[in-house]
Amino acid sequence: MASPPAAGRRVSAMGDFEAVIGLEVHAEMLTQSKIFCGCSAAFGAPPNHHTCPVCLGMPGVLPALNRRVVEFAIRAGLATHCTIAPTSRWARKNYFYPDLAKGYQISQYELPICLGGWIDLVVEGAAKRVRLTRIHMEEDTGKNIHDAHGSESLVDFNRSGVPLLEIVSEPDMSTPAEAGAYLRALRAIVVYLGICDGNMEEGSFRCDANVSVRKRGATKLGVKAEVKNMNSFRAVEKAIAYEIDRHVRTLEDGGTILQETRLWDADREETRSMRSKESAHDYRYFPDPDLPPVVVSEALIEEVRRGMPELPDARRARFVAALKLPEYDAEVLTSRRDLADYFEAVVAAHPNAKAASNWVMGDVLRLVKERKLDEALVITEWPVSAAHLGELIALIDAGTISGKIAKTVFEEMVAGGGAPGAIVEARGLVQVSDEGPILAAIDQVLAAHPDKVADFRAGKDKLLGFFVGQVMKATEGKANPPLVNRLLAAKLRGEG
Amino acid sequence: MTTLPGLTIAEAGAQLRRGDLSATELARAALQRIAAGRELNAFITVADEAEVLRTAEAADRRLRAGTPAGPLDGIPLAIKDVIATAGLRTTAASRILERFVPSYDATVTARLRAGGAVIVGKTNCDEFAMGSSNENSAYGAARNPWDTSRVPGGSSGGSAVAVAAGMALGSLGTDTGGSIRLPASYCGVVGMKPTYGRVSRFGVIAYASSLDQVGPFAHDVTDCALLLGAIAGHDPRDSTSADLPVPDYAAALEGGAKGLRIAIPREYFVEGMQPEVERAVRGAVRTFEGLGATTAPVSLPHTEYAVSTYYVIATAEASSNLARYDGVRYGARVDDDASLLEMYRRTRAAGFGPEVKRRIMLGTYALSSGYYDAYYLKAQKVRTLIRRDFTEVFESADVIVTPTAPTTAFRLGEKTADPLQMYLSDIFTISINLAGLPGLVLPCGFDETGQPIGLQIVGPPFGEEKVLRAARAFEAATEWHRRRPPVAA
Amino acid sequence: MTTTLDAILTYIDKLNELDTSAVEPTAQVLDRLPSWRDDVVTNGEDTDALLANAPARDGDFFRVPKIIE
Repeated sequence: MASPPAAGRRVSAMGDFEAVIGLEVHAEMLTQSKIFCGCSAAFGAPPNHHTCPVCLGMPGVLPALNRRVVEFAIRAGLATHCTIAPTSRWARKNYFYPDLAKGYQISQYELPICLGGWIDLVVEGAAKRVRLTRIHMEEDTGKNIHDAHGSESLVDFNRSGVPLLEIVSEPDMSTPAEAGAYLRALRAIVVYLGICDGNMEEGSFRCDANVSVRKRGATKLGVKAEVKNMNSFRAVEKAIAYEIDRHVRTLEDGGTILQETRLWDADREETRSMRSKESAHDYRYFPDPDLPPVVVSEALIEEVRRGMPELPDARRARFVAALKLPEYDAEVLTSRRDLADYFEAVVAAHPNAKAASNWVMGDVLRLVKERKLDEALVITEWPVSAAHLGELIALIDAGTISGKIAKTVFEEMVAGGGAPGAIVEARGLVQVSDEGPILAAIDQVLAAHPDKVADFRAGKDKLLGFFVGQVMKATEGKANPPLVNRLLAAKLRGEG
Repeated sequence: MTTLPGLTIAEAGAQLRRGDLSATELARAALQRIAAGRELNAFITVADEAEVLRTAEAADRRLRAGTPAGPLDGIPLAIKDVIATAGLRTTAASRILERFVPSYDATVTARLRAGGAVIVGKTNCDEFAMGSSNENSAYGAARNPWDTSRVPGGSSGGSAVAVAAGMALGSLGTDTGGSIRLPASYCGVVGMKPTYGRVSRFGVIAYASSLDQVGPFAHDVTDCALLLGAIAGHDPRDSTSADLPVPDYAAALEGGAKGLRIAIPREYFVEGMQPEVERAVRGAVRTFEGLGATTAPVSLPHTEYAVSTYYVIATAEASSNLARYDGVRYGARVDDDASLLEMYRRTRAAGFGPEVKRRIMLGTYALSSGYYDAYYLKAQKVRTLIRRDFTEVFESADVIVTPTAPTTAFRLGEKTADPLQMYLSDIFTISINLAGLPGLVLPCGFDETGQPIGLQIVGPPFGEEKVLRAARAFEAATEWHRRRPPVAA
Repeated sequence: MTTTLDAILTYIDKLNELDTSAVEPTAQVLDRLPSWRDDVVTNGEDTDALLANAPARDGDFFRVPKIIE
């Protein structure tokens, strides 16, 4: 299967068209209970085991709002620089479908909780800002499953009432790569904030795309198609690329684009029109009379702000400013929240940030990738614990072991050998920093290689490395290398 | 033998606590009265006798031990069939819920049960509470016990009849545009709609969410206060219920009417009113003056727009509230191996009666794209004007006194041909729902044919105490509330 | 049905006699704001009891005629 064409090639194949892309993301919130009732919001229960009269829409039931949903929505708004509305309203979106228990979905329409805002990206080396239109809260629907017999459908309402955050971007993107970058950045934000687990495959992070094209430089938007059913970042990029191509070819051939909803077919790698009544739907939105407006005070916003986990951008900046890490290191370490947390735990164990960064970005990350530990949404098992790694660096900084010996100790820790201090003692790897034994070893080596000594003194400076190597060998690698260097140099120059 | 029609809750409660009467006797008497009065069609479902007696016996045990659960312990009560009762069929007087048995109690049901009340059955009403005469029930019309060729009023007709005919000592109804107050007026009992938000709506089958309220029917104001106190109060499951403490309504009752400032709105004395109704109400006003109240004429200028406003807002909310009756999770289903869409259509076509369909269509239209501003939004703005009228009047009045309806109970079938005529019966009650105010109705006279006439007393938001006090003062000075209808054959 | 609906709509048109350009719609009839629910799981419901009123079921699922996409 071909990979999506890179943005550069696509642009030239587009002739004088440009693409306009907007994304709508639905993120399931990581609350314990549902948005309007006390049922568990957890995934995976047997059908209809996480239901009650409220989320089943039984006669006479009423919604009662979960405060955590509002807190999470405010978190998302703060993280994306939105204006948090002091008052927002619930609205009913009316339509009939078996997975919609009440025959209406409680959502927000005219007055959402967050407006405006943006996400800053770096796409193929260039900075790009994607603005947000709005963020609002709503309830998820149940799930329809087509049964084996084919003549009926089965409905499970476990998901009915799970809280959703809907994040709508402005149509600021123009390439599949930008769309992919936006999605990844948004996902990182919601995962960092702890409000969503970002799992596209399981459906807790869903994306619909609105795609249109227009002549380069035109101000009026072209007819847009809505694309659904993309279950991974790659699928989103491919689907958008396909759609853009379809629009361009259609228009170049003199055809017109229909405003419609299309589904991405991952097997055939194409979008197909949905013969759907929904395109002409009148949802008859009106304010929900069962719920008072959502009033958000400055105090609540402050409370949420104080309780917010640090965001990727802020963390990166702190690593550079406070921990004095280079930009590159900071960027790699904050690319995942669990990685950043691990790194900080190492620094907490022993405050040498640069050394910690080198070890984490080098040896630790290599093993994480080898063992595919980074395929988990959150890495819970590391090759060595942060505490132990910190201890190891401490041993190096104290001069107890050399950097080279530390590598050996590290391998043993990974293999299950326990704490570095214990390993060093058990294997007798403590660095020799006593001048006595080192001088003895030096004497031994120099005595064994008189011709090389003569050569060195005659001007072959490079032989120093040979002598250092011999002294290290004689001391089983345990001699303190800088000390060896100093003493050897002195001896060879005839000073000792 | 105990005659229920002669008893009030307060009297029965006193007898129960003295041991002069048992809850079991009371329960049996209630069930007998229900059986004897079947032609009134006040009940859709009578509770299972064994279950009723078990509840009564439990009350008796508590009463004998001297530890009653409250003033309602052992008292037989009836509940309108739009209010959920766990384990007891709840139909909303519709075919679409003909076999629906909820697994949950409405909050008001649970509160009555916690107080030891004995629930004797679910009363008849207009389907989904949509109606003013109880003729829109899929289970047949209920009949006025004073004259069985007449309507009892609606939508809570059955609940009013049950109390008037002595089948229960009290009952619960719901009121969206007058559905407690109109039947109270037509059946000669006391009925009250509390302030919107005073009583929980959880478990009450929704008609118009911003207008519905649950309220009591009783023989007198004291009983009404008792029932209100038992059901009122904040419910975390109802986000529209007010988080305000519930006063002791019984304690506020005997304050008298001296110094009470009563407003009489001129728009409530219209041409075409039955003359006896106007006479009875004006007579009631003079009674109040005799008790030391002062009266003043006022204007509620937007009264003439209330019915239109109501029929846009209520039907719009109803069209959405009734969308859940789709045959998927509960209720009747008609499918005949049809497609999903056909299943929806046939189920709802067969399950809903014509008035319900009419209101769903009106409401859907009022909310639809292109019409929302002209209808729904417009009506919500007029609603603001109607509320302001009342706010202004209450700046210098304690209560407002009006007739409840332009006429006494009309005959069955008299208004069914013209829905608009039927809607106009609500003309004096509807504004009170739009403004969310408390309103109580009690008898203030009878017409030539012996039909009761009801007086409406309206208070400011959460002014139930004022309303009850005024009503009690009137009742103490008159005898209307003591009359009972002829016992059904 | 249509004639009655027409008559009702005509009656409702009365509302246009009023100038409401400077009036806010009544959003809610409440003056006070309730508190929100804590995020705790309180579900103790019995699936069988909830499915008991289902017109058609298949195990723990609700069954409906097929939805044609």
